[in-house]
Amino acid sequence: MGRSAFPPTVACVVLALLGTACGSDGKSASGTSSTTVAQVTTSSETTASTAPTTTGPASVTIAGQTVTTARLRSIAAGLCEAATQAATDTSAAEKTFQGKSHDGLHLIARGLQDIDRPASATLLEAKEKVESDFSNHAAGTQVASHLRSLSEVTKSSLARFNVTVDACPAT
Amino acid sequence: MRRTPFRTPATIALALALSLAAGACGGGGKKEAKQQGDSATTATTTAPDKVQGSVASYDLAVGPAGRFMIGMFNEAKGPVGFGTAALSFFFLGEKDATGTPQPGPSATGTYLPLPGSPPPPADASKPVYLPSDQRGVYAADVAFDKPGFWGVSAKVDLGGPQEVKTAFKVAAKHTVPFVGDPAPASQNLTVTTPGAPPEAIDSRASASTLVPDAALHQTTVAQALAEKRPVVLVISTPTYCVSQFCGPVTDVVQALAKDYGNRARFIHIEVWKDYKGQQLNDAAKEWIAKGEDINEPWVFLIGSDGKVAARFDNIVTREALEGLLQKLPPMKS
Repeated sequence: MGRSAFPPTVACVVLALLGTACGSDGKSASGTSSTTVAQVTTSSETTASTAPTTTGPASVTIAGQTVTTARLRSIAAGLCEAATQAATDTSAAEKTFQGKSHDGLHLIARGLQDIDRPASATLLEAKEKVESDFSNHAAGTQVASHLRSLSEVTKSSLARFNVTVDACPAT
Repeated sequence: MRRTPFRTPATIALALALSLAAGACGGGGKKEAKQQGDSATTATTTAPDKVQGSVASYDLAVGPAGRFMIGMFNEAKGPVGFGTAALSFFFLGEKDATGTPQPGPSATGTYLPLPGSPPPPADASKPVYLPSDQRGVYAADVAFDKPGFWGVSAKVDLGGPQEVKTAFKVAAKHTVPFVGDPAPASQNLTVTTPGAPPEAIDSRASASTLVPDAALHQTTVAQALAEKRPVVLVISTPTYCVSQFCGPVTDVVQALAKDYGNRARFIHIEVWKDYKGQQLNDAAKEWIAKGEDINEPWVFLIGSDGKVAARFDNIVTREALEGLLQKLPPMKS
């Protein structure tokens, strides 16, 4: 089977994976996906997610994976939720962090590796501070502070993929 | 001819993608320290309403049986855990996945929770959807007899049959030391290495933050081998891990060092000398950067004979390492 026989959506998977594996910064001919520049894969949307209110792409390709912006916003929202919880209940905050944000942060960091390595480092370093807090049973105020910092870094990171999210509400 | 499960366009595409990726990256140009996440070595058919899979194993190669791991999840319902998974393997082709799938080995994957997971439920015999803060993989020892692209079908019963199909690459040879191979006598950085940047000793350290696992940075692999001591070696980057299965592997080894310090030397090699600059530590390079991809974390048990006695890619539990350490005699000081 020749490569040209692949349906366009399948070709996107190929290109996305190639981008992941090789760090290519090229854009696909069909303008669909690469890891370097987050591409809009469907028409814009207005989300009903808890954190953001802005419009943007419905999904983006990060590290070869197509991820809905709703999921990315959920990852960011999880950090705000955890920060709020941390003031009174660090165990609940850790559960929220692990359940809603942790894996997604790894994915974002992986995607950033190829396009902005310092930004990837900043994100992972901010995440490590939070994890270290949980491991060391740090005070709730410190955990909340580090979660808020991580939230800000995540917001900047997602902006690299043309995904906008709101900052955590002021406490 | 009957259309076989692996000959879907999407599967062929992802296998081709892997093939092309391997070809494109395997050139003779200057090699960059490129860390791979799990998705770079595997891919899966995706549909939001179905269970999806991600191969969590590194350095799969032809030869004796090695550990194969696959994580499964449903985007809406959460990760799949507990019980067992029926794994069937198929050879798809040497250079791509366009050939007729050839049946290969079968195995039963047992559930392996990530370190730090809560205790299992009273009845852990059946697969279930887990809360989203719990993760694990299904693992089985599998031998592959030829290099190229393979597929795996993983079946679980989640109140109804669910099947995950995904493709992955098997190399002709291991690029990371395998069981029985001589351990590289690395001169890894320690807390007493003159001029070593703290973050190159452990990515959690900095000029203002002490190395948190200093006990794991007291000696070199070379010195331990010269003394004919068993070694538990963890190669990881606690801060810069990008695997989706990242867990507290370094912490597991650090905790074991406290309890079994009389059985082996415990050493942590930080992967990165400079993450931002994509510079690997030389010692990490000797162990995990001989192939096209750089994957971490890894844990090795090196025998007093200087050979690799066991190795764990990506995920290791305290129980697995503890079982091996308990078989070692106490060291004479």
